[in-house]
This record gives sequence, C-alpha cells and structure tokens, in this order.
Amino acid sequence: MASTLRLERITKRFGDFVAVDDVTVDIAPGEFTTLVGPSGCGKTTLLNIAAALERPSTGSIVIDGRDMTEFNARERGIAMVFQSYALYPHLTVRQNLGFPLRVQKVPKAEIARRVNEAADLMEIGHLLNRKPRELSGGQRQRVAIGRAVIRPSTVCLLDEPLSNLDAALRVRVRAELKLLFARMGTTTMFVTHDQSEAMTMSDRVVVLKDGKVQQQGAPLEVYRNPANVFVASFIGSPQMNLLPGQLASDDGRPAVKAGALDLGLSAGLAAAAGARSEIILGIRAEDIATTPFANSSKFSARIELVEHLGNSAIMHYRTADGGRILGMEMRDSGVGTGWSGDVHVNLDAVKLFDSKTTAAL
Amino acid sequence: MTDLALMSLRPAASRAGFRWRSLVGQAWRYGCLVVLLAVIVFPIYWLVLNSLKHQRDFFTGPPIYFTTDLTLSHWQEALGNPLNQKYLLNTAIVTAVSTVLATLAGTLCAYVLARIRLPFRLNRVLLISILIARLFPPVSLAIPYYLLMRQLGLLDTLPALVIAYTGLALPFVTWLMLTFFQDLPREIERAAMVDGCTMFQRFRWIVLPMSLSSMMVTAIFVFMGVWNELLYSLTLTSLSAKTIPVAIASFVGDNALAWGQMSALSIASFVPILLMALTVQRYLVRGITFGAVKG
Repeated sequence: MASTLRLERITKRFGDFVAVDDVTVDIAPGEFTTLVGPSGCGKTTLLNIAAALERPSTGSIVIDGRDMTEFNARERGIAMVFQSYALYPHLTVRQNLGFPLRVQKVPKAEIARRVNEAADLMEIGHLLNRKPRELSGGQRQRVAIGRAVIRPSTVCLLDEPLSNLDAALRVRVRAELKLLFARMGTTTMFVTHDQSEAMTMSDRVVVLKDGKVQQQGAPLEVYRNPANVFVASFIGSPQMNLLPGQLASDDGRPAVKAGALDLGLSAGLAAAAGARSEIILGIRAEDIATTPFANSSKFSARIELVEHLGNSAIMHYRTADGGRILGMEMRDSGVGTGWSGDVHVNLDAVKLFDSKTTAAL
Repeated sequence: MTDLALMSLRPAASRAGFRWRSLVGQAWRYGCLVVLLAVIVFPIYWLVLNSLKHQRDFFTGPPIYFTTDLTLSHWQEALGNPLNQKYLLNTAIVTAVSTVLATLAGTLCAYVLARIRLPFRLNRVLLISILIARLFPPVSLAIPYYLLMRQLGLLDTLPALVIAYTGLALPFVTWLMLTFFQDLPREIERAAMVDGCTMFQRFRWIVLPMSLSSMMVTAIFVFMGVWNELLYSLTLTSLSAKTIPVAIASFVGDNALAWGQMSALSIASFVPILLMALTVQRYLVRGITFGAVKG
C-alpha cells in the first residue's frame, strides 16, 4: 500500500531570505505530484526538506499520518533521484544499484536477486559491470532511477531527473517514467521548472513562486482555471494572452475593452468583476482563431508571424493600435503571414484577473 | 608521456615536400630533449659512478667520467655497516608511520572542515591557523620541538621524530585534501545520506574510495619530505634514532670525505622513493590532474 506525504506549513529561511513560505502540500497514496515553478521558487528546497537533507525552519513532515520531521531520510523511507544522478563513480552499476541494500545489511543473495530485478525493470541488465563514466546520459539516468526503486520506499522524490537529457530523449523518458511510476504505484514528488513536464506527467501540480504556493490541482484544472496571472502565464505553451483592460458597458450590457478588443461579458463574469474598472484579460491562444466559435466576438488584425508546429501553428497577430496577440490555427487553416481580417475570440474561455492582486475573478 | 606529447605535436607530413622540414623539426626537438635529459640524468650517473669507483680514482687531475675498472667495496662497506642498516631502518619506520598518521588525520580534518559548519566562524579561524602553520619556516620550530622532546624525555627516540614530522605534515595534508573535498560534488554524498548512510559510513564507503588517488598523491609528497628531512633529525636525534640523511651528511667528516660510501648510501636511500613513486604512479598521474579535470 502506497504512503501519504504531507508537508505541513513548511517555512525555510536562509538568513533573511525566505526560500519556502508557509507551504502545505498533501500527496495522496500513489499520487504523482509535481512541484513546478521558475528557478529560485523554492521547489528544490522543499524537496530537500522532504528528503531530510535540510531542516525546515518551521513546519512538519508527516508520512502515513506520523510526524517524521525529526527523522532522517532512511527512517522516513525516502528514495530520491538527483538532478546530476549522483551515481557513485567508483562503483559499478551493479554496486550502485545494490548500495542502498548494502547499507541496510540485506543478505548478499537477496541483494543480487533484487539488483537483477531492478536491472530488468530499467533494461540495464547488460550494463551491470560498467562504471558510471562509461555510460551515456540516458543510461546513467536509468541507473539512478533503478537505485531509487530497488528498495521499498514510502515516497520517491525526483529532482529534475530529465533536465540533463537531450530534447528527443527527454520526451521519450518522460512517458516511460510516467508509465513506470504508474505501474509501481509509488507515491511520488517530482520537481521541475518545465511546465510541459508538469502538465504531461502529473496527477497533480503545485505551482510555486517566491516560496509560496500559487495554485495546486489537476494539470488540466490548473490550465483551464489559473488562480492568478502568474499561473496563467507560467502554465501552458504558448503563453496565455494577458491584456490590461477596462470594464465598460455597451448599451447596458457588460463588456471589457482591451486595446482593439471589445468583448461582451457573460453574466457570471460580469458579476465576478463587480464594480472594478481596471482588469486583466486572459485568453489562451487556442481561443483566438480566424474562424468563429459558438459564442464569439471579433476584432481585426494582421498576421505578423507564423510559427509552424506541424499539426498546428501559432499566429502572431498585430492589431491596429499596435497590440500583439497570440492565436492558434490548425494545419489546414489556409492563412499565413500578411493575412489580415477578422479574428475571433471564444467568449466562453475568457478569464478575468484583478489588476491589483492579479487573482482570478 | 613525453613521447605521446611529441607525437601529437608532430605535423601531419603526408606530402613529400614537407618531409625535410619535419625531419629538421624532429632533430631540433630530440636535440632539446637530449640536452634536458643530460642535465637531469648526469648527476644520477655521476652518483652511481662514484659509488663504484676505486678510492684512488676520486682525486685525479681531470675527473674520470668513464671507467670500466669498478668495485663494489663502497657498497659493501656502506650497507654492511650495522649502523647504516639501523639508520635505514629508522628512516623507513619514521617515514612510514608519520606518512600514514599525517595522511589519515589530515584527511579526516579536511573532511570535517569541508563538510561541517562550526559555530562562531570557527571554520575560518581554523583554516587560517592551518595556513599560518603551513607558512611557518620549519627551522623556527626546531628549537621548541627540541625543548619539548627533552621535557618529554623523548630525545633521540623514533617517537620524537614521528610526532614532529606528523605535526609538520598535518597542515599540508589538511590544506591539500580540503581543496579536494571542496571540489567533490555534494550530491553524491547527499545520495548516500538518502540511501541511509551515517556520516562515518558515508566517509568510509563513498568519500574515501573517491579520494584515494588524491590521498596517495598527498602521501607521496609527505613521504618524500619526511624521508629526506635533515634539520629535525639532526636536532632531535644524536645516536640511536638517527636517520639516513643525517648519516649521509656526516660522511663529510673533519679529516675524511668518504665519497664512495656516501654515494652508495645516497643511492640506497633514494631507491625506496623511486619504488614508491613507481607503484603509485597510476594515482600520481590521475591525482595531479584532479583539480583540473573532473570525473
């Protein structure tokens, strides 16, 4: 049975600098949770605290309902994969894999059996007698993961394990890793600065910035309903269009004006916006297109640049007043650079953010 | 090593027109090497020759640079002398014990200094004291050591030398190993912590094997320093704990200069260093580059 991990009101200060600020994260048994945020957001510090490599200034680490703050990594039953893999350079792959068991004084025969098991799982059976320096980046990473999964652990921590791989390998390993952890059912906490890894791999993402949790939830939920402007801009590629605008009313109907855009608001959004006049408007690129949506509004613009992704393309629109807006078209839309005309906005997908607190409305 | 370097420097002379130029270039390079080699090798040759010459051949008008009329008598006298045997043994014991002690203790000191943050900026204080101790001219400590050993009743004993040499070598070892440990990636030790190692297990199973080559290099330097040490041996010993450098120096007597025996004993005393350097050569080459090349 997989374990639960609860980081309860963790704060970590280094001198005057607050690296982690009152963070609470709850991870359900077998859940794959990702801490994501720009560098310096405190995600690695949080991971190190979970791994007992650092002590929190305040707060507690609870595993399976037991307060484990004062216990070390071994007592907490933590396994960890490091960013640099941190393989023991003087030991062979076989000895690297077996090391955690050797420390726990597991009998030799048992170690040999489990090393072979882990090697089969990670498909590194043919590398067992090599030293880490004789392995490629992808192979080293497999060994590092093998070393983490060889012993039963309560929680597995992964510190940017994909960041040292080249782009093609990263996408492949991403899927393999996700499958592996889904099959093992281990509770996992994963740290990355790459929002696409967070989106593709996680059951749940925790978005961090400046040591504070910005939002946590299922990847699609966070994508669809970002809690604030930061999350909206950080999650999703291309970035969400974020335009400062004013609330107005067109003949009594609530509307928002942002540059060339003049959008009617749904009753729900209008109510949420309340009496504000300044607002930040958020629209995803896929909700801006040259063809109309079921419930859409339009503005006129020219296509300045097209970024082809193969199956789709990112359109860089320039409006009459000089504003820039990103849209998305499917492969066969037939529009290209220099095109100008009406561009449609999906009114059902418009988000509003408070211009001061940047929180979603 | 030198040959390899030369080969990689040699231009690719595939066309016939270049052959002459590369030949001249090679002659020039080998010429330089020969001169350099002569400067280095000649003193050794001279030492070997002197240890084998007859006594009468030492003081001839132009010195004898080459002769086939050789004798082993100096060797027999020098090595057959039970006193010299004792001095050789003394030197070996003192060197071995103080090298092992200084390397082990210094490595442990360095590891702790590199990994543990002591309160009240003690790390800095300790580091600077080590540096100062290292910069102190050994001669200024010889007299204090003499007085200390007299108080302890250790004068003219091997422990006196072992204590002095270990003390002198400790700052050197600590400083060298400290820079090594500071360069050692910490994630590997963190991995060991997560894998359940205590601090000692971490040191014993992970850090020690990884630092073996730099420890060997450090040990070699200590070994050579102690083996050749004259000043402290001269100050702290008189008869029974004398070491070989003192014995060699004392051949320059008031009324006789035993060139032959002196040369024989000199060679006998550098053979162990040569052997040691050859056995740890593998580590030496790796260790010298340990700061420059990672992994």
